[in-house]
Amino acid sequence: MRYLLISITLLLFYGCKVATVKNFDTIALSSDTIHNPYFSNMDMDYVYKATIEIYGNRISGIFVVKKLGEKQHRIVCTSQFGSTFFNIEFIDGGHIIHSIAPELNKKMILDILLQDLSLLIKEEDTPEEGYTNDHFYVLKNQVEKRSNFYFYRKSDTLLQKIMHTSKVKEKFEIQFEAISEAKVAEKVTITHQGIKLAILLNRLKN
Amino acid sequence: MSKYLLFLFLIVFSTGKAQEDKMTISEVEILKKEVHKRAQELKTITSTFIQLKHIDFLSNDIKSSGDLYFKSPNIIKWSYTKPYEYSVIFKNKSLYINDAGKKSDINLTSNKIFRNLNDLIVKSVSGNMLDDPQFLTEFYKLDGFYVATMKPIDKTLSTLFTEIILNFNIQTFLVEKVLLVESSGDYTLIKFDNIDINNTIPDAIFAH
Repeated sequence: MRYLLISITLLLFYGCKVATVKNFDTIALSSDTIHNPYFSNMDMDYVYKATIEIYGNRISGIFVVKKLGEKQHRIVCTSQFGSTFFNIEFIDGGHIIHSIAPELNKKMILDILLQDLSLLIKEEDTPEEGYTNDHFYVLKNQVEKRSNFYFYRKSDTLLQKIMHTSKVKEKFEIQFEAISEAKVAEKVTITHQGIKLAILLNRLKN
Repeated sequence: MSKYLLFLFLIVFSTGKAQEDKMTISEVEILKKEVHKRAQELKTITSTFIQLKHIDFLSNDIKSSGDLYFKSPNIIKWSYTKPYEYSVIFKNKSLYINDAGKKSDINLTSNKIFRNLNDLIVKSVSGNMLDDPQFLTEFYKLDGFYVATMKPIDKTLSTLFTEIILNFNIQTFLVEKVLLVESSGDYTLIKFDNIDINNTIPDAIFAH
């Protein structure tokens, strides 16, 4: 009976474990650090055409990221005609909302925005676990009950995606595609699992 | 030193005044009359446009361009062609969007922000908003343009833009530049070129 209970407990534990690195091998961490290079150049204006798909609705606009200091980014999203949807500054782990459209200024929407955007621009973090399979090295960072899994391609060591999870569920992922020589992601996709929300960014060149 | 400062002050002051002259009451009346007359006669406008989005902390303004089609009284199409394809048509109380082939629409009767934006765009293009009580308007002459600086009183509109500045060609009384200024000081500048008026626009242009 005792063995049965232990087996059930183990089964539940592993059954509920987040599937992100299922079938990956665990690796020992050496001097690895987590690094996201895609919004790290202070000389560059990162300008994208944004498409936000939310519960069947589609909103289009311009999405801008600028690194202003060592731990300081500004993110602005506007309509095609120039009116601002939001203008948020991330600084030293906190944030300042410079402006936000009344329609977006609701706790649930704002929480999602801040969560997605702060992860998007976070450059450095400390890994706590490492994994590998045939294609990726994965570094995991944990903050309280949430984790971020950074997937680096074995072929060229480029960061391809970040998966944000709870202890048992994948919550959303950020995919970086078409990486240029200057380490700019020409295409970025943020896809949520529990809610019907996707943000697609395609880089604009003047 | 004080003479030098006075000299510097005079240069700065006189430079500012040389560019911007307040219009007289009679000049304002002529402008309003001519713009109103032009709007009455206006059946269509076709034009190209260049749009610059200025955000204070960016190194460069964000540039886009395309074509504008307007059919009196209130059908309008903005067609962005560079650096991406995106068009919006304001027609029959709806906003029809074509985002690189993906089509959608928004009912303007239930969306005050887009309804106000539509109204603003139609009036900006036709110039027929100088007596609109929804705005506090000031007039002056600047760099060869008649300029109307309009501050929205309406709360919904003022959350979008704190000032709408229309630049009228002194000869044709047509709007050639629109500046949409936000509370942060960031702005969108739209410059119209190759303006043709009252040419026939095929219905297919406004089809969705």
